[in-house]
Amino acid sequence: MVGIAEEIISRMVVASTPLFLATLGEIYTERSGVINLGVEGLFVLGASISFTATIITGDPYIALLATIVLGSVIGGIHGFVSTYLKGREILSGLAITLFAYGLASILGRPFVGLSLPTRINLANNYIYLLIINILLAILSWTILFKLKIGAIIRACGEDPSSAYVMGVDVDKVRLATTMLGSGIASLAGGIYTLGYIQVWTEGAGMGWGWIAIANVIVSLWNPILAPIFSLIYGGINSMIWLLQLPPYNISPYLLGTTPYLITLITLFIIVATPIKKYVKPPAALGIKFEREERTI
Amino acid sequence: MKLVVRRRFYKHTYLKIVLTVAAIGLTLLISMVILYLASNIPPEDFIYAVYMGLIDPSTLRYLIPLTLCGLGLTLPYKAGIWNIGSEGQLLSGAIIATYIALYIYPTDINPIIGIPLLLIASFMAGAATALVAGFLKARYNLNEILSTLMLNYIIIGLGNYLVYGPWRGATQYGYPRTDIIPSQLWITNIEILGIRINMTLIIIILASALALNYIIKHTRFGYDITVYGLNRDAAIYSGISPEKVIILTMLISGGLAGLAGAGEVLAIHRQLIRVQDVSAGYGYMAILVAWLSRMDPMATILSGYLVAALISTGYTLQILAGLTIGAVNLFIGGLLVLATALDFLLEYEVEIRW
Repeated sequence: MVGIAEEIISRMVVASTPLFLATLGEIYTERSGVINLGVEGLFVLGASISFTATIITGDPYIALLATIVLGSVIGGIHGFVSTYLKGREILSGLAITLFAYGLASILGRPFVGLSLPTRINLANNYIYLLIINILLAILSWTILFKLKIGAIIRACGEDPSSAYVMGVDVDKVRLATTMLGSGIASLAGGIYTLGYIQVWTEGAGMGWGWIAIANVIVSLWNPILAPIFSLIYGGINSMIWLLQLPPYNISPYLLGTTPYLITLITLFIIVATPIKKYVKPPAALGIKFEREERTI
Repeated sequence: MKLVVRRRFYKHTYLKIVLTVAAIGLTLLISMVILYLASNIPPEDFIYAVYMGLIDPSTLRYLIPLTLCGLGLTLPYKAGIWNIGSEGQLLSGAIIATYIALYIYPTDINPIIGIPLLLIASFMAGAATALVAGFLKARYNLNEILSTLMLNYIIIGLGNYLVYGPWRGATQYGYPRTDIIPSQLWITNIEILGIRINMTLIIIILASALALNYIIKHTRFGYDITVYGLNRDAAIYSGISPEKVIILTMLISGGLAGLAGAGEVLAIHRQLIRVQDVSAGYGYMAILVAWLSRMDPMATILSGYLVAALISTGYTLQILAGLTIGAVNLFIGGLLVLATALDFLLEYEVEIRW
């Protein structure tokens, strides 16, 4: 019984890590005022690239590095379109997701069914993983709320015109945080395949990015709160794994809907109960920064 | 050298067309390069696949669900309400149509009553799914992008549960699909000039396009939607009810997606199959359909054809080069991001000063 309990906890921590990382990245992006719906696609792309790159190079860490670089470059397209080109960021984010889905499918195609040469064993070291995640959350909170760089990022998301007057290049900061968030989302996808599911099939990791974007709201745009729902979600994932086995034998398709149902219900609780007074999205989230309007 | 960027006061129609064509051309070029580098597909094969996509009659088969969903999305997108849930709304329509045809109707149901009732029921199912998100948005200001996405996955899981579980057909040799619905309920193709066309669904598309065009251009509600989309605060001050705009645009878009789902079941599959085979992401691709048309219902038919041709291209490549159909997303996403990026030239004029 202790064995099963420990296995569930270790699965919970391991499963929560990709979601936590993707959420953390998106918090930086949204705090600077950009919504990045590309996180979903970049997660799936990261899952695919890290797998193929590990098989090609034999080194999972080089593969993860390549994943971060490619993810931030592709996410950078979204960043560029939604800052310098003033494009609709909902559309360009969705577009990046679809594009990345397609790329993930094309790049991973020759490697379906192959097995990883080396694995990153997270399950046995789950306690360290949990500590690292919590330290990352505290570090990100410090960066965003205690350091000057965080003040700059938040100024771009709250009041870009004032930030501009104070000498901040708003579009540059927003592009940088979008690339950062995208790179982290791809890394999260990579950790999902290399550390958690350890195989790759087409569509691996789909849906996690959406949950991460929801988790940003559930965490009230605060990195410190990001691990909470991530762990709950990780717990649901490990319960799903248990409940589709005997003696429960619940339909995996029905169980597959529970993460989304619970996310939707959690979002509902956040906006429909007194918690809603703590829901304060960055004031300029999704709003373009345009200098011309002041000079005309 | 210096770039001077100024906001345009007039958005020329010719520029919209030029930029859309440029976006399509660039997307095809980039996709060709990526497919050559990543999968070794020779450029001539790719060009052949695109050409086949444009002329192949099967393109009309994808045009129907894409255009129906895309038409629906013109209204919420014009109002700046991001319904991303066409996929789930389409599947709700498909599930309800199958359920009524198999389990509610007597087996000798008269198609003159039976088919219209099925279409109405699937419209209502799609609308109800969208209204869950619409209500949460109107009442609690819950982000509609996330709620519609979550509903997509919930309905996908539910549909697969049904075909793998309680609805698995007795005559289907254990495959995950329901029994075939009674043949008098099928919506059949007719042959015009050697091309098989589903006239019933094409007429529904034309009628919806005309109706939506009328709503947007000639009614008070259409005006409300446009104002709400352009400036939310001004709309509320001028007495436009945000709740009404949200609820009605979601209702209509969900309903049309639901109709598309009934069309897939009654005209193509004649049974409910695994949901990923009922809709290969049409609901997501419809976002591109609505956007390429600039939310003009009449132009949606044309953009529906273009996106359908991209899907056909994907299937041709699948046969030629062994790609999976997921690769189509490369074209769809590429085109959507380029169209969004090139909008910059529509909104701003760029002058180069030396």
